[in-house]
Amino acid sequence: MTPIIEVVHVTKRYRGGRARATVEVGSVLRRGRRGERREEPIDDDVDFGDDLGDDDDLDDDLDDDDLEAEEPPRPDRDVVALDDVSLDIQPGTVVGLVGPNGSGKSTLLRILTRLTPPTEGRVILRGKVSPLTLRVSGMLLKGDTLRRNIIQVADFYGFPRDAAAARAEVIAELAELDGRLDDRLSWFTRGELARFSFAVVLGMEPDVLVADEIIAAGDRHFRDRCLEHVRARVAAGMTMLFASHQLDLVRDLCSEAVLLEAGRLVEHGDVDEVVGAYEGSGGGARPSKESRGREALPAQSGVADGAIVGAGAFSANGRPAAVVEATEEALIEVVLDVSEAPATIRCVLGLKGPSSVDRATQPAPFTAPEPGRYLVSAYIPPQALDPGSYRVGVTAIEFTAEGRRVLGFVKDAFGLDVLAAEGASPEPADGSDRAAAGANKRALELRWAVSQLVDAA
Amino acid sequence: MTIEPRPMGTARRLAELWRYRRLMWFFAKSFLRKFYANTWLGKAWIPLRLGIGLVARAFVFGGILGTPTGGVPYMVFFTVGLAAWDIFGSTMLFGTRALELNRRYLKSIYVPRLVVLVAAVAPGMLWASLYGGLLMIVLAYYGIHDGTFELHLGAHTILAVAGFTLMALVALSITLWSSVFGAMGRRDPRFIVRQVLRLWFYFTPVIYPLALVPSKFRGLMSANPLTAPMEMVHRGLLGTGDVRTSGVAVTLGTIVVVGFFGLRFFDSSESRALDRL
Repeated sequence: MTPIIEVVHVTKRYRGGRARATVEVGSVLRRGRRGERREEPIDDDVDFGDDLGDDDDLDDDLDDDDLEAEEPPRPDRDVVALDDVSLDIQPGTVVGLVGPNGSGKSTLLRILTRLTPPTEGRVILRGKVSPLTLRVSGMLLKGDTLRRNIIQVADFYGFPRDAAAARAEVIAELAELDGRLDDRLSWFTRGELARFSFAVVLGMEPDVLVADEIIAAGDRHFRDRCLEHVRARVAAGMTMLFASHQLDLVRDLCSEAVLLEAGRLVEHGDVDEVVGAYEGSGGGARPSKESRGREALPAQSGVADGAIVGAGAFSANGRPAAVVEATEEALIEVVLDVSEAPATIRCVLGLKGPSSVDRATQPAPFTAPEPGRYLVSAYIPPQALDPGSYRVGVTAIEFTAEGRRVLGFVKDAFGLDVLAAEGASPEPADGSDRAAAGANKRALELRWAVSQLVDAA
Repeated sequence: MTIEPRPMGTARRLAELWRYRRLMWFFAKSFLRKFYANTWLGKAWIPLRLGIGLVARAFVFGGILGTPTGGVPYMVFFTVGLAAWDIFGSTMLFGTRALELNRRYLKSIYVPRLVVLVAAVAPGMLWASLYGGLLMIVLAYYGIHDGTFELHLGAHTILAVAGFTLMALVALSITLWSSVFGAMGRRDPRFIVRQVLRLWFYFTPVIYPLALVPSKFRGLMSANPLTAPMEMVHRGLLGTGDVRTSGVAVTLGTIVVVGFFGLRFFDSSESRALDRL
């Protein structure tokens, strides 16, 4: 059979300083060194407003001096995100992309969705590839009807308008919004919009659906229904590619899997074999404290910077998780590299959620007696977080005789989806504007623990 | 389709631009929102900005300095000129930042990048039409006060339309370059564009008629690709402009050369710039 996607010797090199988060870390550090006094550096610097859904009021005028987000990266070294990857994908298969962070999963998906071109090699697509993204919300016209917004999303996805219009009923039904096609979008709750975002992409029947971490829109019930629909579409011939750390979901949904490591394709084959091999190598499971070095960071650690080497979330069963249940305990871990000791350090987590910004501060700073690697754990009690998608930022502050110093700051380290319990009421309606979210800052009390990691070497 | 490292080619780019043309309106509106988003006065800022810029300068150059404009009231002359100039200037400013301002969209779903660039013409068009509205008021004043109609309309008015279009095209061909630099994360490109615009404004017959320029500077003026479109607008609406074939040739030549190589440059460089945003 002719593959629907052929990836032929694809290499992707990013030229120096790819990551935006690093940029902001840099600017924060520089500001810090200039000695500007700030009572609470985190409050102002941790700005999570980088989602498509927010209005970019950081630079809403041509005359604005939006220095905050504009410090460009210093080119340091090239990053090889994908290294000579070749891959054939047959129509009608569901392929899971697994691998540790920075292994190139997202980059491969970005190339397939044409967000960035490969540096070498080529990709042959024999169908319409559509990314599944919750970021649809930024494309929507809030003052218009659901029906009009289906057309709007079709414009963005390059679907013919009339075909999209013809599927309006199907999409509404899938989103469980039947009969509300002519309601204005501003009347919908966030949960409903999330469902719509998912349904509209799926409902337009793409040949290939691409998802970077499948999204937990709405409650558990809706998530199951989504998966059901995905399976139905696959049975009808849709091809799907998704990158995930949720190995159970990969096993459940995929027929094949691809294991990437450091930009190289390590294995491609039957899902159980590939995922098994990945787990066997210590990939999916939570690595032991002793063996965790720079190579084996907690799952989905975002951009490392300064003293922060990695950060990630774990579910109640101790596995790295991008999705946790609201009713269960979850754990966020931060790995710090302390170069000068003794040092007195305090970590702060910022969780930007659907309706609030939660901030969790270590109640007391801890002292790192000697240089080395430290693991800071924060246990999130059940029901502490409202269901929804969160972006987690991490700040590490050192207290010195002269004052505070930002040791490391990762604005957007990783995402965490909190699932509502089955049958729970949907997320509360909210004004959908950022001002409301910004105003709703809450302090989150967590149980913290710190331990020193023993170097594997 | 095949995704390859090499640029996709300008012909394919233009075909895609056409296919995604409906998105232009979306991006145009998002540019326009920048004038009033997050303000107390809201949309009132649009006429306010316009009025303040116009009245202050018209007072200085027309009222105090008494710039002669060949019988046309200065307010009429200046309003017409500013409408044409702002199509150029505003397109330059927004076009230079088009990729950077819309990075969130461009980095989460594939949108032909030329779409956002072309959408950057919208604010200038809005300004021009608002100046048009203002012009009506000014004309009404002269009509009632002096009983005169200050515009010279007719078949030649098509020249004004062509002039406005050329203004936008010159700006677009330049922003094919500046937008890529503008997306590299440094603010220098915007600063440069802003300063260049400031200079360029004075070397273009906006606040003074071309007839006022001493002959020794005429060479300089005719090398300016904006002189011809500006004069076309003056001729088309006021009947006073001095439209020369050589001037129009300079403008068209600029658009073709800067635009052609600009398209190729944009084609080969935009993705690298966006990778770094």
